[in-house]
Amino acid sequence: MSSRAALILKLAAAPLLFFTVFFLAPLGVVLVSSLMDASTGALSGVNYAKVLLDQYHWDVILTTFRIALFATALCLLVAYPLAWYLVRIVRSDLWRRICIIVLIVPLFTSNIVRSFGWMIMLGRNGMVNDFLRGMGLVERPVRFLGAELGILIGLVYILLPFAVLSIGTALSRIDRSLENASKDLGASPAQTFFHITLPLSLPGLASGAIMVFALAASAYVTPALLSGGRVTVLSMLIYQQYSTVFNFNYGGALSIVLLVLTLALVGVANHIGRVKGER
Amino acid sequence: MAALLSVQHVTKTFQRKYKALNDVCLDVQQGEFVALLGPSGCGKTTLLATLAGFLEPDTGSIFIDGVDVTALPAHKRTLNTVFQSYALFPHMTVLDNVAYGPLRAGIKKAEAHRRALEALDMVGLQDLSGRYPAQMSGGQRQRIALARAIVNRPRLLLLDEPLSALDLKLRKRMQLELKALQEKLGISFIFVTHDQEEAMAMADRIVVMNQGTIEQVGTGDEIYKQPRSRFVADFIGDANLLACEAVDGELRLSCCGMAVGRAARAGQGGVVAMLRPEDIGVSREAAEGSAGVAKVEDVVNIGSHTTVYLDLNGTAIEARRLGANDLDLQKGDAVHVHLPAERVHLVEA
Repeated sequence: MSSRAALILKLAAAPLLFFTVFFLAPLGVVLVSSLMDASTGALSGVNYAKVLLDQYHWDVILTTFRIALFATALCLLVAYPLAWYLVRIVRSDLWRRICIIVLIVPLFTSNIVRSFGWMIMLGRNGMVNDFLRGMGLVERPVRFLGAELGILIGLVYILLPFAVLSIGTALSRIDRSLENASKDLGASPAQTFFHITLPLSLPGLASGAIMVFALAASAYVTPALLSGGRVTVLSMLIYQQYSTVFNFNYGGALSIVLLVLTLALVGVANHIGRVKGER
Repeated sequence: MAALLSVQHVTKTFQRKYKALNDVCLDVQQGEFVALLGPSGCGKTTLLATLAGFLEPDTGSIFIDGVDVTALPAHKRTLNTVFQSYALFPHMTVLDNVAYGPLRAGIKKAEAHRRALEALDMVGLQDLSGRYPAQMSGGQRQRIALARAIVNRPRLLLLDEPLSALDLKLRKRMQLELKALQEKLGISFIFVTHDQEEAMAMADRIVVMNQGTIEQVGTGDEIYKQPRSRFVADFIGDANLLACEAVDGELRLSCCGMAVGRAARAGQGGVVAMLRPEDIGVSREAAEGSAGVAKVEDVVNIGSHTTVYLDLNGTAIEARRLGANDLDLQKGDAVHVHLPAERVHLVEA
């Protein structure tokens, strides 16, 4: 082994150690405890059987991933035009910087604070309902809180910056001469967008989608606060098991189920993004 | 015959002050190979972009086949462009890249692919149609860009420094191939370049641009031998620009007093005499018509020709002799310089 390779190994050792101690080890603990019977402490699949053979859990899983998927789709739909605006339309560097700061600053505040903010905004007599009624769009206040719609709004708001930044990066990397070439060859602006710009921004779209989806599927604070106890997602069940029921084995199994399902969907999205976007 | 392309008084200003194009007028005939030649920043690429429709001129009009296309968006113009960066679509195969034009024109897929293969065949790349641009060499990408631009059979092709990324050998070969292709297809080429040799080698007519204006339009020979301005004389090839002064109604070179014309030609701003290095003779012995004795400052022999840098009474003169340094000139030698008056071309100072 050359001394250069040895040096690289030494340099990599610290982050590897950190990763092992603070990430892999806890995950291992969760995995092992999920495979143990809570009462006897023996290795068994009883926790998984309890999770997977119960219709209630499947309902929760379905709700979790439905919300995550909708949140991802909505995020991308809102983020793409926003990213387009930032990258393609804004001419002044100063204004672009201000926009990006406005976009990122909410990330510095706690999730809890922002979710509480939405509780006030989305309540029966909140600003949103006042506005809707004032405009004559609805007669009775819309129930946002305690419904998936409220959770969706909260998640989209919180996760939007991730999608905008990742799509914006992809858009800004596209060589503009490719779009000119497309127009030069007779493609209308719409055709140019769908044949050239959109496919070339897919990697950014995919990475944004993966981030948003993973965060939405595992989000706890926002669903917990905006659900009003009426909607249950997987992370809330896990929290219950760990903090109220103290069944770490069962909670572990729920966590692993969430992790595996999320990774599976992320893997699929990653594959799609790579096949279409790279080369 | 009406011109295929007519550019009339086109002006384009960037950031309200920088004039990229200043009252540009140009006609291009069907089947003509025109080179836009100039230093970087002279406006040649801007002119190309306004022709393609990527930029709208501030004032002036562009006519193609007698139709005013000034306000027509790029995708509705019947011309195609070969981009400097080639601008090949990285997510499409070579075949899909070339078939893109016909497909957008609403042609059925099978027919579009047939046309694409035909165009690829013309540039000798039919076998590689299934690959992606990233898997191709620079020369191959250049050919794909060319095939993609000619597949729709435009009557006018714009080429933005298409050979600048290729190495010298390949560039020379592509110059000949491009010229042959242009003659075969009979379409007009407008070819942007900053390389005067390239322009001379390929173009029927050369448009020399500088600071947003057209300095001169003419054949390579005209531009080389009869440059209209000092800029053109200097930019095209190497030139000795010798100061002149009027003495007794005659115009004489300041460095040796040789008469080069009538003083009346000097005009308001004065003139300089241009002599190409290859027109200047150098000899060991005094010969008839010798302009005087000059000191050899430097000799550069590159095999095909030898350049001799001379100092004639304080004026730097560059002379070029075909072949090797057969006179065995050395730094510091004193030689006779022969400045043929009939080769002198006067340009405004």
